[in-house]
Amino acid sequence: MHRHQAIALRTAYLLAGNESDAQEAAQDAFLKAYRALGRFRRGAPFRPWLLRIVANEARNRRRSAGRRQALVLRAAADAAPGDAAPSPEAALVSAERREELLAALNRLGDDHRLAISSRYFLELSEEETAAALGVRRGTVKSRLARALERLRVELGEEHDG
Amino acid sequence: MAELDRELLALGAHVMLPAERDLWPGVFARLAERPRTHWLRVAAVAAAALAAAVGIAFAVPPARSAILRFFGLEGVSITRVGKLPPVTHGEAVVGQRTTLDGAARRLGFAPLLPDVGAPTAVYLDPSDVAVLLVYGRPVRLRLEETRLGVFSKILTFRERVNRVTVNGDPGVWLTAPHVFEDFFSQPRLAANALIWEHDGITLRLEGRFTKSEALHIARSLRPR
Repeated sequence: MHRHQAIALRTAYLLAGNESDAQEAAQDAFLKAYRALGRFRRGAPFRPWLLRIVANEARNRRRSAGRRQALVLRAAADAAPGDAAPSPEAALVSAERREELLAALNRLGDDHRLAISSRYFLELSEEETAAALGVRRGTVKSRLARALERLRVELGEEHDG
Repeated sequence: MAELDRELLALGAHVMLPAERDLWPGVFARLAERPRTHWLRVAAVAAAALAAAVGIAFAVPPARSAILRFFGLEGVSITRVGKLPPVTHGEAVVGQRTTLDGAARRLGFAPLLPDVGAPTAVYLDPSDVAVLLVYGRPVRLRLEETRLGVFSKILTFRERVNRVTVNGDPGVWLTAPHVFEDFFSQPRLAANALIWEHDGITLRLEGRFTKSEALHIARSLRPR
């Protein structure tokens, strides 16, 4: 369980929209997963199976709370000046560009924002992304492609890449 | 990789996401709530079954199936049946091979070990909540341990279930053949088995042994 709790919590967070619902959803999901272990197909990868349960729980919580939008992405608090040197990844995008990207992502529809967040921020595999989005695996590629296309439009970079 | 791909991957480090935390206490609290609802449910099922039985008492032979819940063994569901369903044979194990130390780290508790020498193989289930110790090749003993309340499903004939105690802890002795399903296996035909609970850990010992041999091994369990 410890191996999967971080990814379960983060997946739930993307779908439920806030931390406390995400935590409740992830805990409920673990309980359901244990009770359903008998139906877990032998030899199948465990994470997609678990994440599908997590995603269902998180979506149900959001619905029962009457919230429409899944999540507004926010920037994490930056490290204080004088902290450790920025990582090579951090150096790739300036603070200004980060704000621009986040704002554009938040203007996307839920489905598109979730597809991008699952793949790029949680770094889920295609199969895991399908589980988190509640779609078939074949749908993930096309949805992600459309999401990136929309993001480029939002950024005014349609002809880029 | 397109520039936007790289930027999004880098952005991941700056997006607010929940920090990792231990979800186990919350899950455990939910599990602890089980007995109440669970007894209610059992009572409801029993009431419904009784009503049905009264209604059809003269139409068909009495139902031969019932779910047993043993005090202290909440995670074990034992269903008594008149006929065992078809199941798989063989020794397939779902899980990851590991060491005793590796298992202890992932499980959050050190597996108890019987006084029968070192295990031949140690496995963890895919969700890191149960450990399986295998002794001998071919296998002569399997010992499974979990702290999780939900453990296994068993289908068996009525006459093959016996209540026992292991060093004062509640348990059940099941003779072969019975159908067993848990973290590590699809439903399969199991040999004789002893299931008991000690200190919040549910244990299951399976092998071709007699009841007194099984109890002897079970009583020898110690932390390493």
